[in-house]
Amino acid sequence: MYKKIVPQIKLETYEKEVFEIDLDIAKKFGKLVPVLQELLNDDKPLTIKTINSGTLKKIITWCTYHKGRSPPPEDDDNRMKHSTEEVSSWDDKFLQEDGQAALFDLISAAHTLDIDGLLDVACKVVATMIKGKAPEEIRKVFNIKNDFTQQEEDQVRKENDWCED
Amino acid sequence: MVNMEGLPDDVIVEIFSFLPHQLLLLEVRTVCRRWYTLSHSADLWQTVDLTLGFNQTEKQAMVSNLKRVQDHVKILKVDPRLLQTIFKNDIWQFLTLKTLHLNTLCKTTVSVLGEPNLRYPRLEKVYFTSAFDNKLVLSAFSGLKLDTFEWKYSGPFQQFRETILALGKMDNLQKLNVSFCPKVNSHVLLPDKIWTPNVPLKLREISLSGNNNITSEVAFRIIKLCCCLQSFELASCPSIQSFDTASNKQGISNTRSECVQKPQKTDHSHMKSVNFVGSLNVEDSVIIALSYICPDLRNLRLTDCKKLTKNVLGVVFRNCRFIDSLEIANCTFKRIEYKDTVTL
Repeated sequence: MYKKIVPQIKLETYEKEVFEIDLDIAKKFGKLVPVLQELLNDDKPLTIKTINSGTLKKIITWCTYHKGRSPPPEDDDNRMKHSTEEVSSWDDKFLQEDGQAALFDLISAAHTLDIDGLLDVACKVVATMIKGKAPEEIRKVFNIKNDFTQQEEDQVRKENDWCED
Repeated sequence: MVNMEGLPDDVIVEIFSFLPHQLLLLEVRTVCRRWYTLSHSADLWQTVDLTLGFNQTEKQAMVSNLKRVQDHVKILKVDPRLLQTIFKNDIWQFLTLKTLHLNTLCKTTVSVLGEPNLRYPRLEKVYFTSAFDNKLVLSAFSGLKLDTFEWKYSGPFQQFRETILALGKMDNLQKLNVSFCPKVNSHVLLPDKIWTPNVPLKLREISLSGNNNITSEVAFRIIKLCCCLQSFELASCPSIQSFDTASNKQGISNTRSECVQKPQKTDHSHMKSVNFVGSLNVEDSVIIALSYICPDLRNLRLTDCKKLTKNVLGVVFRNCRFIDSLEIANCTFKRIEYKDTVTL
């Protein structure tokens, strides 16, 4: 009997921790795949300083869970994104369980590693957090500073009024 | 540690793409300068639908924003009256617009179409409903290289012949939908009446569903003339009945002889999908003739064609070897004819 050898790639995080990831999981990493495949036989890991270990662990969990689930085909002609189908309850719980900071780390990492499916679903979750809130609440929740001058703020408000002259 | 402000622009735009437009205008862009700029990104405004149920404030915001995003919009759904009010006498253009949905086009609003090759030079697809058959509508669009034309019509059709003639200038047309025009005289829809014979017909999809006057002769002439046709919808056309054997044979031999004369392919191997759902009176002869003419058929829908007999299935399977899907729900495959043969 022999054990099937699964090709693995090595990634090093911000904390200098090295992760070994099965190639079929790493296939979710869009534009990075060719780079990773080249490194396949290399012993030296690929260092990605912008990603910390906790985030990479989460990404591996997500990619493992969604392994084999292909993203739905995109209808190029009629891309009405605004009314999107629901985020699955697994994804929703997975993305929100560690709080906002972890979610943003994850989004940023998904962007770096080009994991479309994860970026998509995480952006949807953030969009849901924005929905139904007044601008002041949005600033509070995401810790954003209002950098408009009073004059600009009035101007913006005026833009929403359409005068039939 | 990343926070909202640390995210790159394109990620924030991606988040915004999951928010409805009215929210972007009323709440999101008033949050901070960066969000203000990003919520006007061209990517977010490629599809604008002004027919959604907005309240007064939302509608005002959407309308005043339309002028700003005018140069990014690719798909626009709008009530023509609103368009007329917004732009009044300005010279306005939608340079990038590819698809235009105009609901309820009426006599007083037809002017929004005026000189469409100036106003919508890139327009490819147009969809509208109108309750009048003013030929102005069609002649207005005829200067454009449209590939899709969908007209839902609900009024009487006195001038339909003239209006449909204007279609003849659209030699790029690929998709034509003239469904549910109850009073249209089927002969005006014949492609040799609409298009001059030397114009290459690029039509790929035709829908004539719900038209009482479409007969099997008309349907077969359309199939014969439109050599690129891939999909033909003839749902709920009660006048499609039989295709008598004499003209049936003739029809086939005609196609064959044309095949010999013309160098290009004129057999209808392109036809992939035919829909007869709810055309109650379709008889075996129609389906059998179709199976001879269109050997490459993949998808045939016969739901509710109650006059068909069992024979039809055998012929279809023999002639069309690539059938993927055959819909025969509610086909009773009447036994009466079968019985007759037994007693004989």
